[in-house]
Amino acid sequence: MLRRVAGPSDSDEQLERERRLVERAHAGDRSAVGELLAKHGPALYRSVLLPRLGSEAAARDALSEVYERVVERFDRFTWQNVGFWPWLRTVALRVALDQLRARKRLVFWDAEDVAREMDATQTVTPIDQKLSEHRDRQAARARVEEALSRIRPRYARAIRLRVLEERSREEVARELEVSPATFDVVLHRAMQSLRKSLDPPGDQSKAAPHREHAVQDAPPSSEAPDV
Amino acid sequence: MSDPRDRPEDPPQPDPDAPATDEELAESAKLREALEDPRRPNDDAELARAMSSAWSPRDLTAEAHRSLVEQALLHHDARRRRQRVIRLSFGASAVLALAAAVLLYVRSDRQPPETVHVTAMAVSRSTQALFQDPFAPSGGESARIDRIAMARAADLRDNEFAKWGVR
Repeated sequence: MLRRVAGPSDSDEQLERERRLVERAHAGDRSAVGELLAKHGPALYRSVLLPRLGSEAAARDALSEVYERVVERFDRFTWQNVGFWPWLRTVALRVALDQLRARKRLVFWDAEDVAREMDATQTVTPIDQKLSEHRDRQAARARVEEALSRIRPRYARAIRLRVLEERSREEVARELEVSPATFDVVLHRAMQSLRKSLDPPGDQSKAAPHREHAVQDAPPSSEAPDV
Repeated sequence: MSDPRDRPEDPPQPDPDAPATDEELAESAKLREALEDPRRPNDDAELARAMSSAWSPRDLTAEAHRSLVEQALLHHDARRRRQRVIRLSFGASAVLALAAAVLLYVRSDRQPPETVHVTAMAVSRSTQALFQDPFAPSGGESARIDRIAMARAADLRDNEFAKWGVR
């Protein structure tokens, strides 16, 4: 224990190892860049790109773009004793921001949110990758909870069980004490309600028409389950 | 996500216990199918997957990750090679152009100027050398003209031979 306190900490050793890798990379050693990416890439995908972009395909494309930018611009990175992670995370946020600005799909982060994160990244990003990942994860979950808090508790529960806990349709239907067909409608209404709560004001066109209107337009179905 | 306090008051939500319409039934079925099969396009299923990705993001497989790293490194190397080839091509073209310019300059410098040939030719001069004796007080003009014409014709012939390189 005393020896551990007296000697360099694990994070110091890791930082020193990383500094040497950066030195090698600056000297033109491509394998050192590869090692740095292999070390931080999985966390970057899991905690920065995938939650913000909302789809595995988009996050994979973004990670590929991040790697290309990093390899191409590595000579611009200056070692500042805070490790490689904060710089890499900033590059990833930049790529995510570009992707979010280029598309119209509704996801949990919009471009302005990521732009704000980028502004804060110089002061907020922890040096330690695990701590940074933990905070990103907490922020993502808080965002989901906040979205669910805006809709009816019954709808939120349906989404939580089926989407977040990934339980089967039949199991969730049993839990909610409805038939599977009725549960399908509950989930559909829940997603519509969530979509309305996420859409920016004045952009409600993506959501389905208000249900009262739908009822007026279409006759009630004889097989309509009791929702 | 904007602050809910900034949003205008939400319209009243529909009754969750109201019977489903045909349209809702159709949309519900589409959502169920899309959740079971991610290849089916559906906005609500995409939103559900985005929510799931934010809640519990899955890892990229080690294989896929390795492939992305290798791809980035290979792309960079290929790009650098292309840039090097372009730089070399430009360099080689510039060197060739410079060499051609020097060669032209040297050749034009060594080549004797055309005035050398001109000086070797007969030039305009006085006709006095054709007439040694003083002229008679009258007559003899035609003979003098003939002599001048013959002398100049000989000069012209001589010059043309020089020009053709046969003298």
